[in-house]
Amino acid sequence: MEGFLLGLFTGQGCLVGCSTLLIPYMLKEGRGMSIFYFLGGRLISYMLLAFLAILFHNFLSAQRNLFLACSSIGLSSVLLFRSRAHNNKKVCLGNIIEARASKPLLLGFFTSLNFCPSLILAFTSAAKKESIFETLVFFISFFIATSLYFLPLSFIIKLKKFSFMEHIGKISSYLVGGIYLLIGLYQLYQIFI
Amino acid sequence: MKRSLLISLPMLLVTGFLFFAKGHVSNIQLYLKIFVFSFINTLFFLMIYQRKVQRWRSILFTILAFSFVIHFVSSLLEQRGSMFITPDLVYQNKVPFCPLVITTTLLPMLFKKIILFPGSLLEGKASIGTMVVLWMSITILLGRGFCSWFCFFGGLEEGVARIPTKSRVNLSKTWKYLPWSILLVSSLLSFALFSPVYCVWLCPFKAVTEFHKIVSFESLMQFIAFFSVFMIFILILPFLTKKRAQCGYFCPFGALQSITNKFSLFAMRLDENKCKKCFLCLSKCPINCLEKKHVLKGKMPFSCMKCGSCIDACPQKAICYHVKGCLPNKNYNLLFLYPAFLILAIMSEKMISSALYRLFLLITTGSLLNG
Repeated sequence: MEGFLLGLFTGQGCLVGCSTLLIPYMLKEGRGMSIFYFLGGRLISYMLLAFLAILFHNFLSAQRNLFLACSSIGLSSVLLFRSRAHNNKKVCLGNIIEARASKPLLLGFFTSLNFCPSLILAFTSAAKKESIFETLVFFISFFIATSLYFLPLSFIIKLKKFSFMEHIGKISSYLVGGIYLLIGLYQLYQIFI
Repeated sequence: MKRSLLISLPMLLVTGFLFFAKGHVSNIQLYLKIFVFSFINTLFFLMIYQRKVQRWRSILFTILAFSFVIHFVSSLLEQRGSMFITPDLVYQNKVPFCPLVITTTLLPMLFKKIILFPGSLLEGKASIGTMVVLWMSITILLGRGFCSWFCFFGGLEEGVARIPTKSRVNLSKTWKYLPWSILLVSSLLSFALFSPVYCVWLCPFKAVTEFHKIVSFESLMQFIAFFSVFMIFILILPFLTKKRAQCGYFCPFGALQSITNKFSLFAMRLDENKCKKCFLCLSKCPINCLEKKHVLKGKMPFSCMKCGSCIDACPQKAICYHVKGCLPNKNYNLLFLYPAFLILAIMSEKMISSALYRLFLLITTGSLLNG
């Protein structure tokens, strides 16, 4: 319940923070992308964080900047390297997974690793739990509550019917990708130099 | 001739009232005012007499932009001693608000009731609410015509674009989507970070107005970013393409204004019966928004700035200003030109008079500053 309430109260922040990345990407990918793949990526990331919160809380708190830098670079890689599956005419399960699922999954995964204020709160609260089961439940309920805010974004895909939206989405993805790459590199520069 | 004089008379009276109804000015300032008043009204008369909108609008628009820079920078130097913005000035709401900021302040203002850019207007006599009301009023009237008849920055690149005799480079159509992307990304980022991202990092006009002092790596990066944008979009590309590259290929405010074309009173109209499909208008469009498909369909583009270039270029006089929802009428040209030119004249009068006065000071005292 604690995780759900925390997610419900702080979910607006998640939506605002992630929409900068998600909206351009959705405009670019259109029907090939479902919001659920993105949310799937977030869930995987939260599960990972649940384990890390228990096992390496102190280490992660100390190395937060390194974590942020790596996730920013990961995010920019997803946005900058366009899916090549669009040109692939063969229809098989592997291609579909690559085209439709892998990139949004990765996007969701890396976005969630960007310690935004709501996630930091969740991470700190989860670290206080005594068992791994409690931490997992906490993160799942936090994920469910924050995901509610993302569902209305599904309508963005409908805009894809306007052909110019794809161009705008593509250029915006490159712009956001470039910004996150610079942020990531700058953070690495601050850590190591 | 008589008809043109008669049509110009209301403009003469209105501008006369607006320009001279103010308080006391020195003799030299009064002479300059009279000169500017005569100059502006001569341009309007020529616009009516020759039926060339862009030719005469462009002259005033360009002079306005260069005058604005002289006026603004000299005022800053007088008040602050430098072009730098300091944190104190930001906290005291002493940073002037400009319309370009609206793009990044819109989402936080609508959803969080927070104004990210707590600036002021008219040296603190008006708040940003005044600018928003002014923007909305002009927008309802002119739509994206705002960019050709009000914006005090657009004339810089328009002036540069007039220098070469022919264009050397053609920009790809894909880049026309860049302003929309910048609008989308900067609005969302501003909302997420609660910072006017476009103003802080990208606005090219900071190079000729005010900017943060370079005191850190971040401020150095910001300087490099906006100065590069200024060089590329205000100087290099307009010179190479003979187009308003910043307005057509970069400005997020221009993109936002394109949407407002849908709600404005005036639009451009292409008379399909008169049009001979010579496509002369295409090459004259300063932001390349007019394409062959528009002419073939007889429909003017969504992002038109209503600058009048296509009106001047058309040998058949097939393009004109039009009041939405009304039957075609040749007098609508005038109905548009009166308010549009008046807005430009009001903007220009103060800026040009002040810039001329500063130049007079420069010649007589060796300094642009008063006292």
